[in-house]
Amino acid sequence: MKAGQARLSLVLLASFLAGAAAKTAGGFASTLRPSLALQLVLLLFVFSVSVEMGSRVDLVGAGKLLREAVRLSVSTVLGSAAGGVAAALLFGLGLRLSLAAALGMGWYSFDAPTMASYAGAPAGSLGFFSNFFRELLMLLLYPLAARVLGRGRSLVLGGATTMDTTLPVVRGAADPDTVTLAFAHGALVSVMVPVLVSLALA
Amino acid sequence: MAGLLVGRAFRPRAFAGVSPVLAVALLFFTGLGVGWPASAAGPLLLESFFVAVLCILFGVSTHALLGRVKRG
Repeated sequence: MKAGQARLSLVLLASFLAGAAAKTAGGFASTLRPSLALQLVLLLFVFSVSVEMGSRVDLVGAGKLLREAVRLSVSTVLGSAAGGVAAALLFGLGLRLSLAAALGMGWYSFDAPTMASYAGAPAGSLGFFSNFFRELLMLLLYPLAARVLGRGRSLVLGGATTMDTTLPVVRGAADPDTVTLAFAHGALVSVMVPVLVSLALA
Repeated sequence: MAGLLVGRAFRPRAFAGVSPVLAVALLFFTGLGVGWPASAAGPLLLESFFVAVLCILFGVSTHALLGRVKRG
């Protein structure tokens, strides 16, 4: 894993914890109601990520790769939805919240604010940590999973993160074709996350 | 969709550094809205962890199943 990507993950975790600490500490910060700012920044964020994705994806002459990426993405989405339903049944979480957390598919910087603005603060925490753990598990387990389950199939672990934060791990443990597949899989899943999370919360 | 079209049409390089900064701001505001639910922190972390684990297990199984269906 590249130091820059690791640093970004740590900075993102630190910013969430700093916000939580400021709220818990009381004083001026605890009186703020950040929901409007949250929605505005969320809109800008989704737009900037889409622009970035549109400028980087080049699908010309990539039919076979795209077919495998679609199959992987479908597995990721169906598996996450099934995981969400199972978690709702096992832990007594609400089905909508559990599905929304699961369908974030690792994209915690999108899922947590969306869940917080639609369903309140505790839902935001669930969205943040479940997706943060998914990214963490991908970072820790991909090299082993690639050997046991196969380099392609193991990309399901990372969900949407395989196009950015966990791509260096794939690069370190797999061949260049799998790296391209990881990017395509992550891009396809990232396009679906906002739609699926909104549907789950609707 | 608008973002994807703009990206495909213009391929602006300036956007590359924007989303990490916005992500940091987003998570700060989320944390500010959430606070730290001290009493629920333990169960919440555990539940979140198992949501992630279940998603991964079901995802890998689904891909194996799809592969078997494809091979007939």
